[in-house]
Amino acid sequence: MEQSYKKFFKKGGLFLLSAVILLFLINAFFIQTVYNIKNPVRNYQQFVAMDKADLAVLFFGDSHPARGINPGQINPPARQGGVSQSFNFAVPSENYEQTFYKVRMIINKYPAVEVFVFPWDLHSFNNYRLSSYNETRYWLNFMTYDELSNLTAAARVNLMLRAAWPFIGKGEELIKLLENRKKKTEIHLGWQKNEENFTSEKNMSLAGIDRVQSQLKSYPDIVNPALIDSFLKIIDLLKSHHKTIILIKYPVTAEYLNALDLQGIDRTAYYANIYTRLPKYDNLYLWDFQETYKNNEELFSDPDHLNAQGADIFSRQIYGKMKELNFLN
Amino acid sequence: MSFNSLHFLVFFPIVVGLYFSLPHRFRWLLLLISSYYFYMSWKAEFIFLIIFTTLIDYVAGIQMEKAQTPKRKKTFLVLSLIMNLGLLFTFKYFNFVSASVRELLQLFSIPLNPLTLKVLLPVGISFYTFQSLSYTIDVYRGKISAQKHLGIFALYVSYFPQLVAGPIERAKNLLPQFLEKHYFDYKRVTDGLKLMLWGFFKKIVIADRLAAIVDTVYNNPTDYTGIPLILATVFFAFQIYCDFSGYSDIAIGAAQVMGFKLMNNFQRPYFSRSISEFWRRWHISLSTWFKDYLYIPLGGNRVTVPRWYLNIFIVFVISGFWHGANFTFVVWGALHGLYLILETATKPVKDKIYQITRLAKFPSLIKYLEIAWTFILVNVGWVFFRADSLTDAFYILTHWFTGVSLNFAPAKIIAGGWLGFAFVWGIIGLMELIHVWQERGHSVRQFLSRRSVAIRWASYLIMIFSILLLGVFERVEFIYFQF
Repeated sequence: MEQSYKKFFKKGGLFLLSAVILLFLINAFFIQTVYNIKNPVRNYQQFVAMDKADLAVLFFGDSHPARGINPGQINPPARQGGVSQSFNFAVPSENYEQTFYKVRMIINKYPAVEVFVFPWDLHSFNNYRLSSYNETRYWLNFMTYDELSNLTAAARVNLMLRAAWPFIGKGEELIKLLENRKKKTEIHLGWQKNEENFTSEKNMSLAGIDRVQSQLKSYPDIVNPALIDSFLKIIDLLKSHHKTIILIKYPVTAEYLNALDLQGIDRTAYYANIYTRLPKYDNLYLWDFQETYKNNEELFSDPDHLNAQGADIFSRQIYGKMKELNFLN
Repeated sequence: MSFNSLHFLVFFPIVVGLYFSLPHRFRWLLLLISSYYFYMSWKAEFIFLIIFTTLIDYVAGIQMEKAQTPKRKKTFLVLSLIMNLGLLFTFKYFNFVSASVRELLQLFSIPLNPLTLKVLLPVGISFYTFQSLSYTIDVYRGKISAQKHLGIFALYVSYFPQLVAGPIERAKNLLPQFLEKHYFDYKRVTDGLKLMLWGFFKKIVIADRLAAIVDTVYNNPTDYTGIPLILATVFFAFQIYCDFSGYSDIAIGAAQVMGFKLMNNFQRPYFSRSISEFWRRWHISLSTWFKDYLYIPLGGNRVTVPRWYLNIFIVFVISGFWHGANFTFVVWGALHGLYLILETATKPVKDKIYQITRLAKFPSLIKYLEIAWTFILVNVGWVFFRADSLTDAFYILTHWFTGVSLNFAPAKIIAGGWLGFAFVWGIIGLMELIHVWQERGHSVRQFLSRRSVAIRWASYLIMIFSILLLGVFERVEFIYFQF
């Protein structure tokens, strides 16, 4: 028995050691090749690396701002490659519950940021936007283990493991991302450049209907109470710090708007419902660009996302309005 | 505590370490405390049910042995049966029966609001109740002596590797092993760990990955027709096999590490050539339990043919009901009963057909045809087993071939793209290749033991990292926990 013990511990120890070495190697490889090229991670890395001396405006939200706002076009110094006064912190599929933690981090760490811009779209508050927290390591940049544990119902120790070893359970992603490495999205100051053109779509009307159905029709709970609560929490937080808040209705195509009508979605009632819940606050602005480019489909990559050309035009327009209000130089 | 939890990964090495460090006389105590802790980490108060079952059967066993008259002996057996099955009925079947009675009376416009118990189903209650019952029945039959040591008997009822999902052990096999002194044996320990590793692979990589696809379809079956319904059912067949046999492998492997030999529970069931063979290969510990404690007491096949068929049918309906308080399980059991009856009744006809069609000259072809046919029949049964209701099950069965085409796009979507689709077939194929090899009498562990250290370690590391990389870690529970 003594010999068996010795053999087990000797061999087992060596085996364990080789497994641990392999674990570190695979993890390092995964972080480098898969985790670090994920769009949200690259967005955050760009934010961390940027010169924040003049940073005054931050854009938050989902794919509408992520693809529609190019901070490089927001103010003249940025256009000339200088220090930008704004950054696009939006990430596709992000919801207001998640945005709250990002806003809180900015308030705590970068008090100089004065203007906070959010989307105010038709799918912003519905269950379509209820997303998971798959990227533990990424979300821990904005919240504590306890908060993430409460949100995900995962044990703290599980979260710690997932954060330290992000490769666990992500083998399929490794294969997929290695496969798609060449298709890596260009990201500039957080903006995700998309050069597709909606006009190349064979049936634009059908694409509009599909989009509305996937976003809104499949999720009848158009205003999810939890997301509204998070949204109001953000407003309260910013209000208590006397920050400026801008809510933007992002541009969409005529096909998308027609599809909304066809599906019987009452835009006016929806916005009135949200509007009544907003607190009174002088520094709260509501900007409506929903129909501004509705007949310029060439500025879109699909029924409701601006492409690179559209983002540039729209960002300049946003800059104009911000300059008018003295939010930017 | 589930095997596929971090909790278990910490718990198990500690228990094994302490087990081999302690003198033999204290080991039963360590295992009993560990087993109770293992169970209580799920829902602590339900440990009282295990203690209750233990005390009832411990006393019943001793009293039956002491009994001077057969009548008194029988009294204690009946007492044990009533108590054990009563407990099982209360926690597992009461609400189902109550709701069924209400629905039945509603058909005759008789309003009734029967009592409903607000209780959770205690994990593993069907397993430990049957294991404990087998002890009292065996003592009654004089096959084994009553266990005098309460602690050892309590351990027999609650031994943690097989407590919540089997294999359902027999006292004759397991009880004496608690009295034996087990030494730390390198080969046995490492063999046990390898079996556990294979079990984890089947559960975490195959079963839980398939579960996501199966759930997508079976949670909303009316959204689908044709190929997705067929694929989801076939995937469920592999999911439940990998889930349950994975659990059994981990249980058997964990017990083996500590020196215990548990009975084999699965023997590559999808290679069965008939339904009767399927039941000799699937959930063996339950099949043999029903055979020994229900089928044979009913008369088995030593009765008239109609009575024999009735016996088969009764056993399978009860087996279905054992799985869960739902008519879907009852139909699943009844269906297998019917399969077996038809198979027995038509065997001479089948042999004749083979002769007439000259298929008999091609035994290999017959073998593959029979395997395929059995697999199809089993899959029809799985539809009832997995579906949430009989309505869903009938929908699925009647829409398997609706709109069938060679367009695999919907199947691809539910599997998460072509890569996901190819991947699930890849791992199923890999497992089945191993099974084919095992069917030919080979053993993977023996094969590896003859290879160099580099090859062996590389194989184990590949297995470990396949689990870490390709495993699904969001899903925790094993399917059979609900039974």
